[in-house]
Amino acid sequence: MKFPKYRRSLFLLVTIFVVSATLIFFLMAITYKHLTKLSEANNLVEHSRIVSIKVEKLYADLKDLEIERRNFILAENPNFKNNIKPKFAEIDMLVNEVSELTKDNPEQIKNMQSLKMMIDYKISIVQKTFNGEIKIDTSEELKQTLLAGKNVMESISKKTNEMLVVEDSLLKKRLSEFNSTQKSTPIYFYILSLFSLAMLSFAFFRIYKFLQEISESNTNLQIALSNLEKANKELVFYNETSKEAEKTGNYGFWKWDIKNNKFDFSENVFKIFGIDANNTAHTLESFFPAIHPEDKKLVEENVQKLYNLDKSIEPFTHRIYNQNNGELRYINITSRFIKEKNSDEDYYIFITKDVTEEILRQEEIEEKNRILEASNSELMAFNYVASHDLQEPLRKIETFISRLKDKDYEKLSENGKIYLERTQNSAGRMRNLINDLLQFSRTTRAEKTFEKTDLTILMENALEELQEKIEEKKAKITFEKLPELRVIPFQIQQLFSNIIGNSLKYSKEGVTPEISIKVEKDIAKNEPKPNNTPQKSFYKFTFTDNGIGFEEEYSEKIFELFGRLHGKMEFEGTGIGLSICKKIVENHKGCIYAEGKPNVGATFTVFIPEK
Amino acid sequence: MNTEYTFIILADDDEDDRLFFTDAFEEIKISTKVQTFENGAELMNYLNKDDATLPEILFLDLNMPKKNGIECLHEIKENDKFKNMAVAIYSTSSSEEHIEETFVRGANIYIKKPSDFKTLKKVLQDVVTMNWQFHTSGLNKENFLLRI
Repeated sequence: MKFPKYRRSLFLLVTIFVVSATLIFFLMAITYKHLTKLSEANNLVEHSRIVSIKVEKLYADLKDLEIERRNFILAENPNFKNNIKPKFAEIDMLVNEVSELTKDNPEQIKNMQSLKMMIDYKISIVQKTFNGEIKIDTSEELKQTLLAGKNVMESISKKTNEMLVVEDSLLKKRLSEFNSTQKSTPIYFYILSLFSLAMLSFAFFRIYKFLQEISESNTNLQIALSNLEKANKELVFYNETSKEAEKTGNYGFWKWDIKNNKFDFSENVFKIFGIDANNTAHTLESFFPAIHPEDKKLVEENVQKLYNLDKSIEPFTHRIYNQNNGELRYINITSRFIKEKNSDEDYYIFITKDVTEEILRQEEIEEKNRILEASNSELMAFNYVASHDLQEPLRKIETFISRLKDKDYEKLSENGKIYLERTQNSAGRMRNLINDLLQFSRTTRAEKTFEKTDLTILMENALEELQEKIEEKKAKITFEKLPELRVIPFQIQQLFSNIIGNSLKYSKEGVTPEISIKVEKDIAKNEPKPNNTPQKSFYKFTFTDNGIGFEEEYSEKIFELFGRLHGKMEFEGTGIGLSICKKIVENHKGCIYAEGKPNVGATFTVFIPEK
Repeated sequence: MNTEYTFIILADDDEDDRLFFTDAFEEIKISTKVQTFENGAELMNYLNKDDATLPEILFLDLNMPKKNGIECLHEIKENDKFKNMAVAIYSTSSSEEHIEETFVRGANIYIKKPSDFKTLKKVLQDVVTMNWQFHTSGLNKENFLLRI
């Protein structure tokens, strides 16, 4: 769009037109003057010619008159009078005419005066002749008058010749003047026409160029227009999409044009508030009636911040009553200040979102959490206290039984001995159960202090605990050097103890139990088992034994609390041991799983993050 | 210090435990004299008497009414009078906290009450015959808890 160029071009064109028009007028004026001059010159030439002719005619008439006089004198013709009258008139007329014609030439005026005198004298002679005033009786008198006449005619002739000469030279002069003027006339015409043609061509050229430019800019306009149309279509599409998005996302979008103090709300904002979009003004005030009375102050504060052009308005949530159905809804408002780069039309944009669902769900979850936590801590407390307090009477029972056995075993009957035995067994089982329960509750209690510990030491401690069993079964236990990790020492020791204890317990009859413990450092991603902790690198502990194993389908059951695969008669145990292991591993944000093959053995894999 | 017999005191609120204790010592082939107290208050009253005969070893239960074992331990260790008296914690609990706290407060050994009479006798015999000075000088958490 070259508007200034157009302006300039137009100005130039107008200037050129004005200048050339002026020049052409000027040239036309000159040419006109020239033509006038030419015409005048022509007239002058004509004039001289006419004068010459008239003078000659005059001389001819005078000569005729003389002849008539001579004829009269010689012939005494009575018709003579009649012939001369018209002649007098004619001569008179001619004299007047010539006088008139030569009144601008002083020389000719003088000549004419002389001539007039001569003519007058001549006429008087002629008249005298006709009146008989002149005696023509004698031949002498005749000769005299003829001579007089002849003399007059001679002087007249001389005069007229003079006049003719003057007139002739004048004619020559005028003729040359005329010719020269005539000669230069075409030049004026050439100049005028050429100049006009040049201007015309120039004008044509400019106009042609101008039209081209217009055509080009027209094409550009067309392109721009089609682009605009395209952009408009896209905009319409985005607008529709945005509206749909608003509906789906349950939010509305609005804008505040600061300079013009104009608000613009999307339809969905009204919908969220339950207000009829068509009948409501696009102002903040339109929404105030819907606001929950307790939140009015908060909203007003933020509105005030907005009007103060505070750029740090934080997102906030307030309640409203939907004006359509009276429902209580939670509305969250986020705002952003947008600074326009090339103009001063800064504005704010806002998103109003109905977050009722989220908030209610969150409250629900929080409530449930609270209940769960309370329940949990009650349970744990109960668990601990119960286990702890149950130990007391149990211990007594065991001690008394043992005392009885010591002191009065012999005094008992056969049945008595059996009953005592059974009682002792039950008490023992109860003790195990309580111990395990106590252990379990300890692993879940809040006090978890991580320390960097050499796991080899913990392993050795665990093996020492199991020393009796190991010796009894003559088990072979091998393990690699274990790393130093940040762990809860007593729990890891417990973990080792439980797993190895299990392997010892479930060993094959008559076969020396072999237990090997291996360590690997690994990246969690490479492991097949699901592992949903964010840690990346792990230590993988593998406990392999050659015991009785188990079916693959029970690989998860064994970790369940009280989950056992054998009756208490086959193998003693409480079913808590592996649950404790699982809990311990979870405390360390690790993972444990088991694989077993019946009659071949079992493998327990423990992952502990490097942290 | 009496060379004829070893004087032992037990403070325990549980009647049965006191019975086990005294019975056990009767069967152990060491000449001992055993005195028992029902609670911490009675124990401290006795110990604080100017003319009180101090035991070689004091067995202290933790859970007692009026004054519990921890409080007694604290008082005892504060008083120079009792510095030659060995204090053995004798408790049902084997919780880390109790072991830690009594260790820190200066007890000499921690015994978890066994549930078998034979074991009880063995434990008591071991404790009584222990060379306390040797034991005390090398005391650390490892050998604080008596391994049965």
